[in-house]
Amino acid sequence: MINFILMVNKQGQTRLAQYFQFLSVKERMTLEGELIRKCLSRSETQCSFLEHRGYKIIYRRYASLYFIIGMDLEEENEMAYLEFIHNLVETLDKYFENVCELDIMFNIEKAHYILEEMVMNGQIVETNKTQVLAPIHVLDKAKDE
Amino acid sequence: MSSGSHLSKELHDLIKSIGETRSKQEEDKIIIKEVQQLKTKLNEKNMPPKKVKEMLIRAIYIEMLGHDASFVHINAIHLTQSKNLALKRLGYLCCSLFLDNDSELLILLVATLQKDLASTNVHIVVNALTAVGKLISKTFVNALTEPVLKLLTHNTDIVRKKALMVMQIIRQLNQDCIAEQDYDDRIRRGIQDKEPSVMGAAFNLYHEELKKGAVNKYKPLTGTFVSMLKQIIEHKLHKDYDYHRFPAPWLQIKLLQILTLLGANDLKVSEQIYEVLGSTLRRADDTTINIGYAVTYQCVKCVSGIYPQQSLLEQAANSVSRFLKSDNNNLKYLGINALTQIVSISQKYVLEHQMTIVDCLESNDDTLKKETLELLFKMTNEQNCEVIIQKLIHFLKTSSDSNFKKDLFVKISLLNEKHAPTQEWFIKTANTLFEFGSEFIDNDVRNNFFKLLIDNFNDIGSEFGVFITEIYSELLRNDLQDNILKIVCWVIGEIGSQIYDQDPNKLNELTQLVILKLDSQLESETTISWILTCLAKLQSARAFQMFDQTRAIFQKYMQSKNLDCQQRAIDFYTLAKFNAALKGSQFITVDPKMSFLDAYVQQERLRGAQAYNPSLQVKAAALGSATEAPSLNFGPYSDNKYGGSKTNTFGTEENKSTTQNPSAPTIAGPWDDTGYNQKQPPPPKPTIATPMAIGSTTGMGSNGSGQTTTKTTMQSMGSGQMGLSSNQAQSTYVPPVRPLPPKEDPNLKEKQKLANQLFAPISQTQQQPQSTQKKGITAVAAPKQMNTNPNIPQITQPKQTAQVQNLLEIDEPLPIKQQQQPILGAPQVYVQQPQIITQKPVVVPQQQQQLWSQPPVQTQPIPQQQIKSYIPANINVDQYEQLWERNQNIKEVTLQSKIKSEQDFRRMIQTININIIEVIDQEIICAGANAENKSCVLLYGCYNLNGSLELKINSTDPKDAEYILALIKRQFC
Repeated sequence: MINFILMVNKQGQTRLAQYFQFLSVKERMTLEGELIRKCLSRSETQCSFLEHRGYKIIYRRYASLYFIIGMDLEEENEMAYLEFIHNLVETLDKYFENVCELDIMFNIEKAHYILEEMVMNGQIVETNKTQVLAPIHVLDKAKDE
Repeated sequence: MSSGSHLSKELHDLIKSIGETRSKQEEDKIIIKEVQQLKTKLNEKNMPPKKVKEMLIRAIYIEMLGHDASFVHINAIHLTQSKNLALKRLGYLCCSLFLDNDSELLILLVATLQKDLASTNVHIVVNALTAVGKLISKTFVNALTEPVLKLLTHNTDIVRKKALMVMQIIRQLNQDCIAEQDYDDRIRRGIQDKEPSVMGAAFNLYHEELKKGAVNKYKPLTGTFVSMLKQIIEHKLHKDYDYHRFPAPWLQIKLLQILTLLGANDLKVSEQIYEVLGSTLRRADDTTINIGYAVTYQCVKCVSGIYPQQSLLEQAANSVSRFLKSDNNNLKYLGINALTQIVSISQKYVLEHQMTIVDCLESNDDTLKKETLELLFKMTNEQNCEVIIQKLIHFLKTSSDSNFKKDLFVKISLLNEKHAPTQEWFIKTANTLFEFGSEFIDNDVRNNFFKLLIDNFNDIGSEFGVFITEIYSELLRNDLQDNILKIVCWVIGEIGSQIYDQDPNKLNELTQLVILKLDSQLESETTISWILTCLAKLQSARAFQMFDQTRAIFQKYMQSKNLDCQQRAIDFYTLAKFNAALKGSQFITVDPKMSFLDAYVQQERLRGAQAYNPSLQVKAAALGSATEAPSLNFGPYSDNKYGGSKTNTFGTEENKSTTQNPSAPTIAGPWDDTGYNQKQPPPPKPTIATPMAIGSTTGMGSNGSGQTTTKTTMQSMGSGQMGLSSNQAQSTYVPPVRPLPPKEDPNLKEKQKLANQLFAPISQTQQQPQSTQKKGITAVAAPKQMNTNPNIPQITQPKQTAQVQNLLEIDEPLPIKQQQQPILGAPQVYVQQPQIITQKPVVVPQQQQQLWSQPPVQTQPIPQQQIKSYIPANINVDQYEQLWERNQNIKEVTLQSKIKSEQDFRRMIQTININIIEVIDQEIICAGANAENKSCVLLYGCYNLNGSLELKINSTDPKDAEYILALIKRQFC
C-alpha cells in the first residue's frame, strides 16, 4: 500500500504531505529531509525508484517540485505509481489550470481533497479525473453559498 | 489561480513569505513567530468562520513544516460540526492530518461522524466517509460499522465506492465486525456494480483477500475477472477512464494482479486466463508510453506467476528484451525485475541479456544495481557461484547503505552455504564475509555457522578439524573485531581442543594465542566470556599443561564486574582444579563388565530376583533404531537432530553388539563389552572422558550464545571422541571434486569475461544436466538406511538442509527430468506434459526441444538397465497418510490418458505392480516399494471420464516417480 505522498521542492521545503500511516511530526520531518536529499542526489538518467528505510520510494520531478510516493516493499508495479503521480499532476492541472507550486501553497486544502479522492486506505481508488474533481467542485459551490 | 486573492492578506503574506524563504532557518523563524501569533488569536471569541478556516490552514502549515500546533487540534474537531460543507470538510481534513488514530480526541468525533453518515445530504455523507476512512480506529470501529455497511447500497456511486473502501478498513481493524460470508457477498455486489469506479474499488478488496491467502474461495470468479479485463482492453469503459488513450490502466493492473494470484499453480484457472492475458500484453506492448510499459510489466509478472504457458512466455520474454535494450533506466529497472521473475521458470532467457546485466551491475545507479544483484542471486548455481559471490562481496565492501549491506550479507551466506564448491572455499568466504559484515553477525548467524562447522566436523572428521583450526588460529594472530573473535574462540575451543587433545605443544600454542587476546582492545565484556569459555574447553583437553596460567586468569576474572564473566570464571576455576587433579589419575582401569557388582547380583539372585534377560534390551534397542516404523522411540535417538551421523552410528553399533552377543551384558552409552568404544589410532589406554563433558556442559550451560550451540557442544564434547573415530570408518567426506578455476585477473576488467563467467555455466547446464552430487557444505546427507522388510516401505530421514535448499532450488541446474517441486509458486512440471498447456499438442515435442534444449522426456525410450520393478505394499490408509507426510518428493501432473474407468486404472496399477489401498469415487490411492532397494512409492490418482488423469506420485527416491510416470505415459497415454 501507499504509505505517504509528499510534495517537496528543491530547497527541501515540504509543500504537501499526506501520510496513510501515522508518523509523529518529528519522524515526518526527518523522513522528508532524508528523502529529498536522496532524490536530489540522483541524476536525471538514474531511475525514479529507490528503497529507503523499508519503503519503496517512487519520485518524479516537475519543475522545482518533487512528487514522492512511499510504498510497502512488496508493492509490485513501480511504473504504475510513477504514472499515477503524473495522473495526479494532470488532475491538479485540470483543476488549477496550469498548476504551479504556489497554487498548491495557496490552496493546500484543495490539493489534499484531490488526493483524498484518488487514494483511500493507501490504495488507488480513482483515476478518472472527472470523478475525482466532482466532489471538489461541489465544495467550491458550497463556499459560495 | 495562483494569486491567492481568496485569502486574507494575513494568510496570503504568510504563505508568500514561506514560499520565498531559501533556508530552513528562515522558515523556522517565520513559523515560530506564527505559532505565537496563533496562540494569542485563539483566545478571541466569536471568530467568523472564515477566520477559523484560515487559522486551521495556518496550523496545517505549522505542522507540515515540523512544528507543534496541538493547541489547535480541538478547533479542528469543532469545525467538523459546522453546517457549511466546505468548513466541515476542512475540519475533517485537519483531524486526519493532525491526529493519530490512537488519539483520545477522536472519541469526540464519533457522534458527529455517525450523524453525518446518516445524513440525507449526499455531500455530507461523502465527506464523512472520507474522514472515517482516515480516522477510524479499533476503539470505535464497532460504532461505525453499521452505518457504513448501510451505505453500500446507497444510490450514489461515489458513496458506494467509498463505503466499500471503508468496509475494507473495518475488516482490517476487526475481523469480527463483518462476517466472512457477508463480506464476500458485499464485495461481490461491488464488482457487479454498474459504475466502473465502484467496481474498481472492489478490486482492491479482492486483491487484499487474495494476498491474505483466500485463493480457493475466489477461484470460481476467475471468469468474471477475465471478462472484465477483456471489456476494459476493448475500450468498453467510458472515455473518462482512459489515461493517454490507454483504457483504465490501473484497473487493468489490479485485475492482472488478481488473476496472477488466482492462477498460480493452477492449470485449470490459468487456462481461462491465457487468452485475455495474451491480448492484454499485445495491446500494451503496442504502445510506447510509460503506462503501457507498466501494464506490459504487470502482464509479464502474470505470465510468470500463473501456470506457465510456452507461447506466452516467449511473448513476455520479448517484451522484457525491449525493456532491457532501452536507454531509459526506469525501463531497465522493470526489465531486470521482470527477468528475475522469468528466471525462476527458465534460465534460458537470461543468456540473451548477459551483457546488459553486466552493464547494470556496473551502473552508477544504486537502485538498478540492487535489483541486478537480486537477479544474480536467483540465477546462482554451483558453476557461477564463485564469481557471483566475489562480486557480491565487492559490493559489501564498498557499499555504505546498511540496509543494502544487511541484505547482501544474508544473501552471500545463503549462497555460500548452498553452492560453495569446496570446504576450504566455504570457510574462507565465510571469514571474508564476517570481516566485512561483522555488524550483521548475531546469535542466529553464529549458531547457524557453528552448526554447519560441527556437522561437517562430525561427518568429515579430523581432516576438516585440523583444517579449520589452522585457519582460525592463523586469524588469531591478527587484530580482530569482537564478533569475529567470538567465532574464532568458539572454533578453537570446540574443535581445536578435540583435534589437539593429545598434542601438548599445539595446545600450548593455541592457549597462548587466546590468552593474548584478553589483553587486546575488546569492545564488550561478553567477548571476555567467550574467551574464558574457550580456555575452559582447551583445558579439558588431555594433554593440556598450562593450568597455572588459566587458573590465574580465571582468578583474575572472578573479580569482574560483569556477572556472566564472573560466574564463568568461578566455574572454570573450579574445573581447572578438577582437570589438573585428573591428570594425576590418567590411567584408571575400567572394568566394562562391572564385575564389582557381581557379589551384589549374586546376593540379589539368592534372594529370588530374576536373572537379567538381555533379549529385553535388544527389543528396546531394535525399536529405537527402527525409525522407519511410526512408533515410539525407546532407544537412543538416532536421527541427526543435532550432530552429524555420529549419534546414528552410536545407536546402530550398540544394537549390533547386542544382537550378535545376546548373552553379553548390555550397557547403554559408549561402553560395550570391549571397553570404551574407541578406535582412534593409536588406541590410547581406556580413560574417563567425563571431565571433558563436565567442562563443556558447564561452560556452555550459561553461555549466551544460544541453545543450538549448547546442544551441539554438549554432544560433541561428551561423545566427541567416539563420533570422530567411528566416523572415520565410514567417512562421507568427498574430496573437492572440482579444482578452483584460475583466479580472475584483477586488472582485466573486460566485461565479456565476467559475463562468460556469470553465464557460461547456465548455457552449459542448458545442454548437459549436471550430476546431482552436491558439493556444498550443507549437502552432507545422512547415510541411507536399507530396509529388508518388503512390507514396510522405507522412509529416508528428512534431510537437515531441506528447507534451505528449497529456497534456492530455482538456481539448481538440476537435470530437467528431476525438477519435480513447484518452486516459489512457479511449477515446473509442465516440462513433462506440455500437451496440456499448448493448444497444439502435435507440435509440442519439437517446440519443447527448442525451448529447453533438452531431449523431450516422454519420447525417450527407457533404457534397459533402468527398468525397475515394484512390489505391492500392504499398508492401511492411516499408514499411507503418515508416509505421505514424511516423504516430500511429490510429483504432480495432469495427463491426457486412455484411462477412463476404474478398471483402466486398476490395469495401470497392476502393470506397475503396486497395490490399491483405497478407492473413493474417481480418486484412488496406491502404494508399493521398489523391489530393489525397497524405497517407498505412494501414488494418488484421480481419473476423469474424459481421460484427464491427475497423478501425484510421492516417492522416497525421485527416480521412482520419474520412472513410473514415464511408464504410465508410454503405455496409457
